[in-house]
Amino acid sequence: MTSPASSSEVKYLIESSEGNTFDVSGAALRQSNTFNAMFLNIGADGPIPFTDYNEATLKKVFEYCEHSVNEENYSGPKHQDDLSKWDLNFFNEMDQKMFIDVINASNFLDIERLTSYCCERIARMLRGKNTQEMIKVITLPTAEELEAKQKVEEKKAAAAKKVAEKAAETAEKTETLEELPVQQLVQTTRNKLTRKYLSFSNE
Amino acid sequence: MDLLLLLNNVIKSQLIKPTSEVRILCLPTVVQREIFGHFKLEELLFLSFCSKRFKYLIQSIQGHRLKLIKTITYTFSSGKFSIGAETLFRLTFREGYSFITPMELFGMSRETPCCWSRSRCYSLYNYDGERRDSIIQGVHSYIQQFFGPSTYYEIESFNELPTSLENIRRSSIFLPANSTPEELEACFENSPIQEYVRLEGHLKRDLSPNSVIYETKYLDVDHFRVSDVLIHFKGERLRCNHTFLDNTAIVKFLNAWKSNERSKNLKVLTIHAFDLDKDEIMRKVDHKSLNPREFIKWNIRNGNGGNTITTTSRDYLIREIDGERAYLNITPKTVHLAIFGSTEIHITFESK
Repeated sequence: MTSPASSSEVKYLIESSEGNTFDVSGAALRQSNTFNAMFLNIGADGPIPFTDYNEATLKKVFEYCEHSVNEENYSGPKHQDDLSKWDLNFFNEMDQKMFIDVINASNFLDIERLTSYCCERIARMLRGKNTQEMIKVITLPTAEELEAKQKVEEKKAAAAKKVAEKAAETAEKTETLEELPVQQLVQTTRNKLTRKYLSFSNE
Repeated sequence: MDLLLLLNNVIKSQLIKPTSEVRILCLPTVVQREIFGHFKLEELLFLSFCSKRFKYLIQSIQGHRLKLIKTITYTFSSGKFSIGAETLFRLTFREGYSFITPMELFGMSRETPCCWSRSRCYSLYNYDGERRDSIIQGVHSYIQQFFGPSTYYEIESFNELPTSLENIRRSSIFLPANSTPEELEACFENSPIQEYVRLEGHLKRDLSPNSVIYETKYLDVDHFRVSDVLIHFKGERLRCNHTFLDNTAIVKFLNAWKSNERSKNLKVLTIHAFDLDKDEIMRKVDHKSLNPREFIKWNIRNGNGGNTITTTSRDYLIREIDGERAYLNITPKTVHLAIFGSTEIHITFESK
């Protein structure tokens, strides 16, 4: 099914985190620098495993790649007013989680166009907003959330410290138990030797 | 079939909420860099108001762009001030007394009456004119933190006395009418000794003899009362334009320099006056001259980016206390004096 070829007709099998496989055209896949570096010249026997990403994310990523195959003279993301219906739909069909997954997958696969496209989209989401609105977009934790997070971390640190102390205590006890017979042995030997020496000197 | 497709799309649009939130802090650094790369510096500055962590992130990821800013100029004029760095960065603050919704910008408190004017490029702000000085100081403090300490900060002011700011190295002030020496002095409170100060206009009274302005390294005055400046100046370079100094004042100054009474640190002096008489001045100053065949040439480069003046002379004065030699060139409209050997950036001597 998969072969090292430069023809756009060639299809490659992609495997997602669920273990599902699906087809992607060679032309679309070649937009990924990661793929180019790993498989283009040597080919792949069987499905190419991109198992850090789920099927929906990978399909979305390659949907963009298939769409932009013919845009040879791509010169960066388009201006807001130039967005086509396809562009708008592409983003509107994603919720936050998927959007982040697509960015991460695009970054991993090193698909420059898509990464840049998504980043421009984020920049567009922030432009024209005031600070409070921006904070909502980038979902920064509030002061209360930060405080709560800090408290949780302090509790975790305290608990970890307790566990570490207990572990150290246990280890100390074990050491003492292990060392006791040896010490006793040494002492007994020493006593015996002393007694022998005394008897020898008396003789 | 079409109906089914339409129904499917409607259901899909109801179920999927298009993303309007992105946790930028969770994204890989490469992606963060790409996102910030889409913003202009004014926008990045505004983004930095979101949180301290976000500010540090911008500074660390976009440091290479922030370092491109070498000089930041604060320009004051009636009812507004602007902060700019050539074509790379510009903010304009307009005075307004109404419609100011405090926004907790530039690290200032929530109550500070300063707001973004919702311009798309994040370069326009409004502020309450009655709180101008404290607001500019707050803004400057944030700008210094954001762009780092190595940036060169300077002030330009037109018919308005500027706010006193820290870490200013150059000031050019066009004095408003009826300014008092005290008001002018107050402008230098937070950056008392600067590399270059240019003053244009009149003060109501003379500056005090101990004024910090006299300690400026390079003082450039225009339409200013200079007789006092000649007496009290302690810096290295002095340029006086459009003065009404007469022969007597010039002779008095030159003799005082010779006897080490004045301007001990002076390296270059330029005076533009009217109707000076070279012969009379030279007659009253005990000067020396090079051999008639010899003369010395020197170039004076203006500190504020002006043209280089090339002067030649064979007349010189000798300071009695240390034998320092000052070459002198007098024309009906100018006096040039340069200490021989002052081969720093602004002056070079060439023997001919």
